[in-house]
Amino acid sequence: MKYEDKLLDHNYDGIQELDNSLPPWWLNLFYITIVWGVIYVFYYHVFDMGPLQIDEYNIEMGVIEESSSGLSGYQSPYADTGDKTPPPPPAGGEAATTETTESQEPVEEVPAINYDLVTDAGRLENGAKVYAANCLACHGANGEGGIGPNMTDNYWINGDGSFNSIVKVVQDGVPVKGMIAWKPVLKESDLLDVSSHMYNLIGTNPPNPKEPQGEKYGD
Amino acid sequence: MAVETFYYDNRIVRNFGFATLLWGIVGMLVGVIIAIQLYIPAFSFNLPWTTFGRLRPLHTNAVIFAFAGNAIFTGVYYSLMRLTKARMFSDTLSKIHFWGWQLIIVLAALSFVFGITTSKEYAELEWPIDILITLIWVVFAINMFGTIAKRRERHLYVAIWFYISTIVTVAVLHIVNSLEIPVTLLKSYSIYAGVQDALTQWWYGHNAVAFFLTTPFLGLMYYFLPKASNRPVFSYKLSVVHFWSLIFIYIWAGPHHLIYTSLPDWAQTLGTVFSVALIAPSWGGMLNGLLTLRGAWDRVREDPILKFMVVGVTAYGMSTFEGPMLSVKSINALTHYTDWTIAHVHVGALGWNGFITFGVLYWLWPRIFQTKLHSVKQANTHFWIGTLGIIFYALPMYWAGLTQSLMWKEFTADGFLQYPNFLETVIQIVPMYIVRSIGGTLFLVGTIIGAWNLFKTAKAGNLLADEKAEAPALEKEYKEESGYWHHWLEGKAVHFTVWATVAILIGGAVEMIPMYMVESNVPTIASVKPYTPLELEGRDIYIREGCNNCHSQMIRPFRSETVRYGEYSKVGEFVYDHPFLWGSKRTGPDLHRVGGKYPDAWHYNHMDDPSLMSPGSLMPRYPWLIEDDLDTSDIAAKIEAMQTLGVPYAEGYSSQALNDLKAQAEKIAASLKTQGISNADPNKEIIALIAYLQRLGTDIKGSAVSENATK
Repeated sequence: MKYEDKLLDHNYDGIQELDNSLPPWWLNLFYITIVWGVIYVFYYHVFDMGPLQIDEYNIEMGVIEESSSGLSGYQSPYADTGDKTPPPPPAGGEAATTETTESQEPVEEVPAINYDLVTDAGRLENGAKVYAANCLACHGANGEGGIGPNMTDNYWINGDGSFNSIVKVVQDGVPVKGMIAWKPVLKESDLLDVSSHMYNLIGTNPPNPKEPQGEKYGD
Repeated sequence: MAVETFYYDNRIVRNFGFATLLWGIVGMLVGVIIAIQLYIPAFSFNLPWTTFGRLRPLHTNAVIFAFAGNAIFTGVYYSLMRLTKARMFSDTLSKIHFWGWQLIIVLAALSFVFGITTSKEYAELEWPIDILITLIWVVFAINMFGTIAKRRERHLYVAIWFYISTIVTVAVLHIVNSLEIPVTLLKSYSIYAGVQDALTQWWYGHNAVAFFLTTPFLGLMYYFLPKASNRPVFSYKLSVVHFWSLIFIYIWAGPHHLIYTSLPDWAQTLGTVFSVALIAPSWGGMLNGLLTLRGAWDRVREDPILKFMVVGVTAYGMSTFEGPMLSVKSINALTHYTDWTIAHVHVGALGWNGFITFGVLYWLWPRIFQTKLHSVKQANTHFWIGTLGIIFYALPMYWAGLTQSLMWKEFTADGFLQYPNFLETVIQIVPMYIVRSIGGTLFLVGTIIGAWNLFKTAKAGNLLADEKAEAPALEKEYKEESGYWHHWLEGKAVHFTVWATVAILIGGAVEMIPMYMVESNVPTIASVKPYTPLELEGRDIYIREGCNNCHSQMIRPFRSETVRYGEYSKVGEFVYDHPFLWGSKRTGPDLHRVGGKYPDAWHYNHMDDPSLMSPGSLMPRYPWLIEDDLDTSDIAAKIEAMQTLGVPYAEGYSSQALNDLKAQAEKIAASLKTQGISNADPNKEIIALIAYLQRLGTDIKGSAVSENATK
């Protein structure tokens, strides 16, 4: 557009000012952002049409129906169509209930798991890789133990010498001892591969073994 | 009226100018060092004084307050005298201001290196230095308002409006955000806790960007750009509208640093809508700068000063478009905690602050030294190397930020995180870190060339220490020929200052007062308890080592976050956190739920050498934590300070704190021994840090998990 370029009569240390009008596109941009802001506030906080952040999270986790947010068809851009993890504890300022965490007493009702030892060479190689990435820091490069117990001897703290008892510990962890539950992190095949890799470490006698802990199974 | 003769003081301008160059080189050099540390952890030399966590605040403070700060004073002193037709109010105050500011910088550098820090970003300095800053700032304010009071020019030019808003707002920001309760001479706790502290901090932090890195530089632009291009300013109307809207709206935007955190939604919303409304007021400044150059673009091709200013103003326009974009929830969900933010601030710092500064220095240096610039060719070289540096800095950081964020959020078809190991997402962007450090190095090389050029110019010329000028004195009785409002505001500095102050107080008050007063903003959680004495000491080590520079403690309510870290952070969990430690960048993973995740010995080994536990980790080693004894001499004072701030320790608990501390330390040492650390010593600093880390986020977890953190 054309500006008039009318000089104002002031002179500040040689600097002069024109008195051009505000660029219309600039002024409109300003108005639009203000109107948008007003609409935004009303949408979320006056008419309660949009989900606030915790509602948005609960939608994402599949805990509440989208329609209850007052926004039909709304889906969080980060929502995923895969399997949903278990629902989180109730939102808000309440402490999480202890229901979602393991109780310390051995619970009998836990369904027994029954997996077969993996024997495929490729999968065992993958198990070694998963071990190196996730387990080595505490259990040693060859399972000799360190922070965690020795995995190569016949002494068991949380198991009975069976393959399935390894799988169970890897899956659920031992929170009181600082063993992480890997079920939310590793997909099932990786979990079985690494458990099989560890089962195969038993009896390998690596250097620098950690002293035995727990009870002896087998010989 | 009789014409009066007076003299401009160029010596103070020269002093601030040299300080700008010196601290610019220092600050950028530290920046290059920490950029290299991010891909060569050994570059921290395994020494406490040179780790990333301590040098990063040194870098940010040196660049903001030492480089940009001295640049502001250089340009303000030069332009203010000429715009008011008066020498500075007091040469003594000018000197006190100069030497006081340099003293603050030296004290700041020393304290950061020694781990003396409050942890609050850009306000890390401890309370004695905070008081010194306040005093020196008041000296600057008296000197400036005194000069304005004795002016020989009736009207205040637009540059001075920006200077006034800077002086007033920085004072308000600094004082409110630095309210802290001293424990010892070098240690204090913020009077605010948790979400209140976070909101106050980012009201301050964002408005440091607004009123330390934006308004003073806009003022410099309004003086030096028309001078250098010899063109009239494009639009007086635009400068009025964009000035008032800018200072009023900017103050509200702080919460955009806390989108999708425990900050209540209403405050986040205010941060978003006011940030978006900031586009036009900010761009008003860019337009007035660029459109002033209409008819002078042919000169931009030849004149390096104009090149610096054009790129500077353009970078300002880019930053101020990007800021509002990053404040929109869906975009912020992606960019928060990533290197995108780092790219964003460096477009502003290198492009806008850096290039405007160089333009100003190149313009005024030959004038105060009465000679020609030593080498126009070198100035052009500086410009091109600097521009390349900005590009090589910003582009890889955008790439890195987006890449890492998408990796954090990616799920496999079976519903697992695609990259459950945080470290994978870091290793992925290491090449970008390498390119970034090259970009930063280029910018530093440019700065050194510029400093050399100006040094040679000064050597060749003579400082015109007292520059003679003449102007008639102001008439007492004054008849205004144009509009009433214009006169009422711009002819009266006191009116103007009062209204500018009102404009900048509103937004902060509306956001912060409800957050302090209305209890429903912070629902209490019964199971959240104060830290034990040992945990408190551990927390202070966490602060001292600057862990919050790389680790957040704020899990956002996204599935990708809760699957990776655990339950999202609740506002009630932070009520005893003086100061808050939410962090703003994840170079390492979030730590809010790290308590009980790993055995004590894992942390022990990890702090000694992170790569033992996480092969390939970029975290520096902290061997001194294992060697140094924990200083427990202040524990009683710390507990009492916390009690003063309302943390509910039992009456008289401070006398018993040391015993409790020792008992807990013994327990942790015993647990370490069972986990293979045979020489674990309960008196070492590492024990306190482990206690703190094992406590983090466990108050609302199930009891089984928190058993692990040895209580």
